[in-house]
Amino acid sequence: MTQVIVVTSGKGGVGKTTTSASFASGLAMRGKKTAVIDFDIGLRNLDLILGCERRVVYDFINVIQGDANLSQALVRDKRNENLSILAASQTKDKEALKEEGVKTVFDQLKDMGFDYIVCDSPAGIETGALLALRFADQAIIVTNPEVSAVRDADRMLGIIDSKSLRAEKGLEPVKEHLVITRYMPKRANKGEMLGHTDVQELLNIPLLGVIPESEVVLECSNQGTPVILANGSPAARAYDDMVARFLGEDRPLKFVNGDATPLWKRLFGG
Amino acid sequence: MSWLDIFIRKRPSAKIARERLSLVLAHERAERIGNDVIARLREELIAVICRHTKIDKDALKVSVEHRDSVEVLKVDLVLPPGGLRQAGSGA
Repeated sequence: MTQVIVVTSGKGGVGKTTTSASFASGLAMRGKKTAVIDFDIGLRNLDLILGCERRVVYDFINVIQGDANLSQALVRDKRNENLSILAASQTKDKEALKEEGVKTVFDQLKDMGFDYIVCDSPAGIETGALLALRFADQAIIVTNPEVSAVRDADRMLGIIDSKSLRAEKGLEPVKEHLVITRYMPKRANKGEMLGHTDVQELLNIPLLGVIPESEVVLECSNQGTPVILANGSPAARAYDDMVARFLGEDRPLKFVNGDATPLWKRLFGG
Repeated sequence: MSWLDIFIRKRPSAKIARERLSLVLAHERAERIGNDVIARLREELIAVICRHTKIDKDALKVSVEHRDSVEVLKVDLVLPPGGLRQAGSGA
């Protein structure tokens, strides 16, 4: 059975696209046939983050409007054949995104045997964001340890609980997961930043991952490489843990204590 | 600011953030639940009224108003021309 997962936040700039790219790549690395879809019509960016912007010929809206078929529009990731990307339209009107069209595309992806459809939601609570979560079986709520991001995340949880198809039909509710990005353990320990337990307790959904603030994130976006592939960096390992937990592995939280890795560990690995 | 401030430990700002957030989230969640109840009430009221008479569903307005210290549930319905007589024998 194909699972639809929305990556959403409400607030912009918290790392939805970064997380979508790494999460989808991580699933693909573990042998899951994964499609990742950019729902940010007019502000396409997932293609850049995944480094496939020059290979996009047709987009999501082209498929919905019948200008191209889905297999023409899906861009196969060069690093992993299990991963396909469907880019958002950069030029078309976002009104072109309609529930019926989205459903048709999802049904086709299901027929093509995809294990996971990852929906990279735009910020805000407009049509694009609502359609990204509409068919979700699971939701990954991305937030920073910052008051406005946490509040918007909570608002988004309310919207998932009322506007998703699962909620409307009275089916089993969308399974929600929390991912905290840009975490600075030292500042959190000094009481200068909300701790991951604070954020988790405030939003009251299970914690899937804590991604430490890292210079690697910018370097990766410069190069069009998902962070999860930045070998050995804490952010990459945190994303890898997040994917493992999503697939049911039990992994302890790393990079939340603020103590630097001991020198011997850095030299000899561990 | 005075030189005495250096002896007073500042309250961690994360603690303040947590307190502010828990207040605002509690308030907003309560409001959401209230809106859900109103929406459900409205649907059920429409169903009940439609068993007895024909109405324009958009004409039914349900809201909660705050008057002095009490909350008032306000149900407003403009009947179509002919009023309740149009209902015939009802159900």
